[in-house]
Amino acid sequence: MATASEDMVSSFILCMDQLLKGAHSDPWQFLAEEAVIEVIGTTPISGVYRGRQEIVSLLVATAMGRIACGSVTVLDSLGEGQDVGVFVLLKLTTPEGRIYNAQGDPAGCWFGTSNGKIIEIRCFPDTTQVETQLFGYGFVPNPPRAANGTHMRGAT
Amino acid sequence: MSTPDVGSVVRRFFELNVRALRGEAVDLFAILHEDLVWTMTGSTPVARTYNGLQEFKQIIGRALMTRFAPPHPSFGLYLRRIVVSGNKAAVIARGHGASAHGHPYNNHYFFFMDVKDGKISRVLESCDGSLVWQSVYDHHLEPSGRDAHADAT
Repeated sequence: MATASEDMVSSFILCMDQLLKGAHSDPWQFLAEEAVIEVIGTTPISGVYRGRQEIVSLLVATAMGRIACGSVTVLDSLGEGQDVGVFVLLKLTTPEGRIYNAQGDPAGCWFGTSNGKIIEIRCFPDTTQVETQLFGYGFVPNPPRAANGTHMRGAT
Repeated sequence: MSTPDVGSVVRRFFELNVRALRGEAVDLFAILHEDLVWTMTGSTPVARTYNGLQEFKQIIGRALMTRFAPPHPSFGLYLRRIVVSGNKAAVIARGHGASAHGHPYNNHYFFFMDVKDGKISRVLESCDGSLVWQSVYDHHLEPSGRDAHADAT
């Protein structure tokens, strides 16, 4: 049986899904004013965002600039007390038509709740695809290194 | 199996990892079920589903030996958060290590783990795949050229 926190997280993700599909939706109503979101890694959207205002004006603004539409659904959810672990299916399409997560991999997300609000979200997206699909970067092999650890000039 | 036992099994998995990463001769795979199904999500060379402990040991065991730096007293894989329900656990973990190329490898992990017969039988894993490419596979990022997003100012 789902906990109250799991139900709230599920409602939040449903609202996110509606927003990604272009419907009028306000998922941020579920966030506490002092909520913290962490996106793992070193991508352009990675980092720790503190407070609803910073979340919306930095994280959401940056991400939505790279997203034309998308969808997110809960695949599996596990709650205990105020904490909830979730695997979601997140698919996104960029303004150029590139698809994030065409293969349909699950992505992990951790939620902390308190007093009926979400106070913490830790997101584990496919950071490879965030770089390649959302932001158009490619992963390129480093040139061979010399014995002293420096990159060898002219090496291919 | 009762809920406290599931938490103990999962904690034991991380304890064994820390000891192995620091060079202690422990059997890292002893806590994994023979019928293990381990799915590494994402877009890295090792992202796929491994069916059975033997397959997991063969491929991931070898990768651990060849793609990562030798054990070091400072290395570890640390359980940070856990929720348990029934025979399942959701876990956040942090790693501290280095790749065979000498790059730092301090990854973030999110796991769903199922426990059966006192062992971990199913794992669904998310981690920072970009770090895997850059640290373990010695790659770097460049604009791809195919209508690359040129928002950098």
